[in-house]
Amino acid sequence: MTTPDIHTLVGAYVLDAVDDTERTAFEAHLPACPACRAAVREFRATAALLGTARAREPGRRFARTCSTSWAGLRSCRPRLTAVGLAVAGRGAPELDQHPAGQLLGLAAVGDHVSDHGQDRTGQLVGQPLEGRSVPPGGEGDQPLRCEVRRHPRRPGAKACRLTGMWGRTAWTTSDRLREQSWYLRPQEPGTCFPRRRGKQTSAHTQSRSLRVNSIASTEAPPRQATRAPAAVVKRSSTRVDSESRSRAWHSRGTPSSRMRSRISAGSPSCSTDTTANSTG
Amino acid sequence: MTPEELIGRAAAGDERAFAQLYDHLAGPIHGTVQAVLRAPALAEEVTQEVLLEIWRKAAQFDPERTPKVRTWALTIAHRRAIDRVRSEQAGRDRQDRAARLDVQRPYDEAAEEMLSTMDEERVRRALGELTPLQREAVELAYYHGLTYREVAEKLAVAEGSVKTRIRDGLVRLRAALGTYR
Repeated sequence: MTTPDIHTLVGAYVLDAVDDTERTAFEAHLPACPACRAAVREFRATAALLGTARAREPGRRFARTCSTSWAGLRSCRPRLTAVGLAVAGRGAPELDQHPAGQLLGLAAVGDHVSDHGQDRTGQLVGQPLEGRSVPPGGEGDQPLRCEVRRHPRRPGAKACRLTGMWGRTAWTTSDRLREQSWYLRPQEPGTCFPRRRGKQTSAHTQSRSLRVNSIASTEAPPRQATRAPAAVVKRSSTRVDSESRSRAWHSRGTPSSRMRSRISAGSPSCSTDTTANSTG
Repeated sequence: MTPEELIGRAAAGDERAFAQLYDHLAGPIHGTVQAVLRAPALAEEVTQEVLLEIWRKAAQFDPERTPKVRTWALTIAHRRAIDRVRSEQAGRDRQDRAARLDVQRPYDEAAEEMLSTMDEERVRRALGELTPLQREAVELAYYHGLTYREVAEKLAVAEGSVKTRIRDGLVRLRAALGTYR
């Protein structure tokens, strides 16, 4: 493309109406062309109004989650390749103080297994996230719980713990997250599916509903009792010490009534986890 | 606190600031993404990704380049939505896609639906000040994710003409909308 031509791309560039080659060429052109830089800046503000005019709040099920793992994500930003976003109920003080009651909660989860048992002793970052997995074929969904803790020995690193995969526990550290991770889906609270970076084919989109087994194949042996209680999706909002947490979470949660009613409508609660009794 | 102040705090790790920013941005981001992607579930998924990207890139927000956070956020949002549309179309014939749009949805339908808020009304009026061809080109590109080549094909006009119309359309929109935010 010749230089005279490339100036004419400015409008199409701002509206993302160029192909990748043209975008690259135009972006290479920008540093040398103050006029195009100025036009891009102005047109972007205008284009944003086209988007603003369509403002629509996401569905109510979207992102009613805890706000707490954001800090954990920041520190692993450069290497973060996948995250989980879980839906949890309202109920924690910081959510209630928030007018919209809508906060995003993110927890990094992964399938790298740490062999450092001490990872789990770090300070908990935010609230644990809980949900359900839905395995391929739709049989026997499993409750999940994700915790993010500060790594006890690597400053800035976070250790993420995924519990409940067939009663076992998988650990990862935030600086070792691998490409495929697990994503708790907002449309169907707790549904979990693997997510890859980059472009997704439609085939991938269709097939990503869940292969929890693949995480089970890499997980560490259970080192704490993590019996999987059934049938509720909720969020713990009370504090328990780290020793009892893995056994206690089922009974200590205070899910929002709204969330609970919505969830339990589809999956009647059956609180059968006897290991939770000690914290009642 | 303005979004610009909030994102500065978010960049420093202030989660509450980001929560407030979320209130400012989630609606516009979701609306933009939804306009391009149509499928609600897909739009929510992309909206999440955009919000995450904003969180992760909060420190990169540069008021010199983009004075308003909303503009910056919607630039990201639109780009991600377009990326998703095109990746999902990657295995298909692009011409076929442009043709299908005819069947699925007239080009101007998008502009006519959901016009209820003041923002929408004002933008609608501004779009109405464009020439029909400018308006078509801008809407097909922004709301439908077509490249200018696809727009040219769809409207049966020269590619160069579409580039010009998009640019002129944006100039006119900017004049009509002024500094309105």
